[in-house]
Amino acid sequence: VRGTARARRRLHPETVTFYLFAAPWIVGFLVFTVGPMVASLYLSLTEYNMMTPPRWVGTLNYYRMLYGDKFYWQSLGVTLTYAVFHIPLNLAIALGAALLINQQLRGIYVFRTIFFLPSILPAIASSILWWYVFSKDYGLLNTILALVGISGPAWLETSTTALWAVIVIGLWGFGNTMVIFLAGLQSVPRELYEAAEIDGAGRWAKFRNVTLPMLSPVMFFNLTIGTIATFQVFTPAYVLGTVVSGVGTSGPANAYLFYALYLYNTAFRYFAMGYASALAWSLFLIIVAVTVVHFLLARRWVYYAGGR
Amino acid sequence: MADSPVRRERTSRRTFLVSSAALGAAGALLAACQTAQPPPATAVPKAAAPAPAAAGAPTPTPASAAKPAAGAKPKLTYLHFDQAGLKEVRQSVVADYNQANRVATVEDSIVAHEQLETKRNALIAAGTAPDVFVNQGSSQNIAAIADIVLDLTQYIQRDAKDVQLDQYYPRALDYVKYKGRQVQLPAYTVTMTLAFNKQLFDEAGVKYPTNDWTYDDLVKAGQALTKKDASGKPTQWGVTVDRRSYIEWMNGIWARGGDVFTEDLKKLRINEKFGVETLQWMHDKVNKHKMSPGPGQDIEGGFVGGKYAMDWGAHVNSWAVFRKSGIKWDLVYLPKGPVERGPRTVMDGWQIAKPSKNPEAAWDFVLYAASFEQNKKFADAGFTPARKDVAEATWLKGTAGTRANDPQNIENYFNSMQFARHVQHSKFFLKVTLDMVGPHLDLMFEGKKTVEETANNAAKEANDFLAAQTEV
Repeated sequence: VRGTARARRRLHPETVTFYLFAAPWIVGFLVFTVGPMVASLYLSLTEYNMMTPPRWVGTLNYYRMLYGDKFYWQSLGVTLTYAVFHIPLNLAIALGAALLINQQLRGIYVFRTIFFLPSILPAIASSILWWYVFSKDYGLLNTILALVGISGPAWLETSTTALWAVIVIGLWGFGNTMVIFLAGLQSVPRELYEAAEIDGAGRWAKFRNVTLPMLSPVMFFNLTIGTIATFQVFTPAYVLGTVVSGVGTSGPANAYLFYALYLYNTAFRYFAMGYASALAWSLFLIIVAVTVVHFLLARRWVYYAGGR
Repeated sequence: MADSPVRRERTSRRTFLVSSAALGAAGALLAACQTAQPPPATAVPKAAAPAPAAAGAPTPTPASAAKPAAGAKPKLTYLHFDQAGLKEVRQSVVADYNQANRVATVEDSIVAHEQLETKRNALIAAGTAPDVFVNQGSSQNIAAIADIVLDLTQYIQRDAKDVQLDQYYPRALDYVKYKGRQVQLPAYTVTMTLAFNKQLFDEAGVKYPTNDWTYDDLVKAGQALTKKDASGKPTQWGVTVDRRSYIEWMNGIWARGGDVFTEDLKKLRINEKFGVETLQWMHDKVNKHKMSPGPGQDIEGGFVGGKYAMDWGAHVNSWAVFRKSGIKWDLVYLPKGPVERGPRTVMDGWQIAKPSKNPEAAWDFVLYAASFEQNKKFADAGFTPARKDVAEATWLKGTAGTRANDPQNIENYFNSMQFARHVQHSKFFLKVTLDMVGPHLDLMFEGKKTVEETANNAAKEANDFLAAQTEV
């Protein structure tokens, strides 16, 4: 019996062939992803400036991060505030746009392209573009507000409005989420809508009782991916911080101090690589925790037509 | 497939995965354990130095370094950055050095300006430190890199005739000292002055600034040169203000007789009388004298666009842009504060990595690059040399390069070196000034905090941080 069990564990030549063909990717994953992760975990337990050998400090970096670093909490606060507003708004706008471009209209492909275009614009270019929109004296927004007698503030240069401006800027790139929603919408079976219509359902009822449940796996996917991406927002913060306050700075009163920017500055401006590694691991753990919560809650609201 | 005869294969899935994981872990550990080589203890050899160059200043390039046996020339790596004009100058120095058939050959490695430190540190971490590299001039760099670069003091003493320290501006040499060690040989200086747009002064009928200006004179002219349109929107500002970074408040502290940190670098002094007065002055420039822009009031184009009559703290790195813009401009000393002027100075220069396997050859190259003839190339390219003899032979004779529209009173720049100041070298200088003071300045200029609150809050935050550091 033991011999048979052992024999079952032996590999078929095709399996060996599979592993050999997959080896470049497996080795690549281990060396270029797992390896650096293990290295950064080790470095997070050291003090390391790249110029002298790492010095073991145990969990000191984590302790300092949690109990002695104002910027850690500030950057988490900025990032979470951004996430709380950006994620639902982005999902709502992307879903709304997907519903619009899911219509059977002449030239709909042109509209789809137009809606998608902003998301392929380089983040640096779009950040600069938005700077012109929000500029105090010369910006498009304040020019429009002035027409109705409102004197707009320096949106990007005032600590109370700067983050909100970045939240608006972040919504500009909803195209990717929209395309995924559109694919989801187009895979909802027509017969479900027909059955609902026979039951007397109106537009809202069909949307609420057919579209949303059928879209829930797509919604879940977009929510999860969007959350992960939101925790890593960097480019607009870096670009706008540089434009507004100078290279590498984090905007008015640290309004742009997103977690990723703080991590970047810690690593590549101050070369505190050990501490930056601890920050990176903290971010990783936060993202894992949020993702696990998403998956746990998903059982309550995500509907898989084909079963789980 | 379960019945397949290949059950007898020896490799199991578990074995394969375990082996792969072990391979990955080994790679990871290897990566983790790959650290910078500890810098070897270096001592300046007592061997005969290269014979001195011809006596008399300015001296030519030291040309008498011992020539190596054929085929035995060490190869040096030289890391520098790409910035308009500088790259070409440095490449030219390298080419001349290689052609001069001296003790080594030099291969330069050029990175983008903002990538220099990352590249340098990555090379050091990988155990492949460049033999010679350029330091960008930030004070933080001096402190952070001090332990990994050679102390040049003994080399300088040994080769004093070639180095000609007396030909350097003393303040330039002060800057590149760290805890008594000469960690760099300076190439060119960047010192703050007050630049002004002559056309805007002429249009407003205001007399040009002079070297004996005080802050009161600045206010009078600044207000006269500030213009607004009918709606009250500013169309021209009297003078720039650095609301966010450290340059202006640091200068203000020096101008009032203070300093940025305590001597042990453990405390920020911005909340002392001179610091509070400095912040009040900056606040007043915007809110009381209304000659400088507050948040969101900057006018696009800036000084070179003819939107600001004076540029506080203008330095040589801006001059190329000034020239290109075609504005008519000149410069004077920074106005005298209550105690002194205290213009900030920083400078680029050469450093030798401690791990270099050829420190003697690296020193030979640095000596060559810092020589009169080679340093003159910086002046000819529009940079302001750290050597007095080069400045006198180029800029001050009006023969530095072929540029048009240079400042007419260039001597003001070089003369201001006599009272130039540099920040105390602290490893946390940027962290404290940009991350800890800067955000409080933002709140002050937004009107959300008073000057005193700003000074006290910034000092408390910085001092709490500095107190927790084992080394500053």
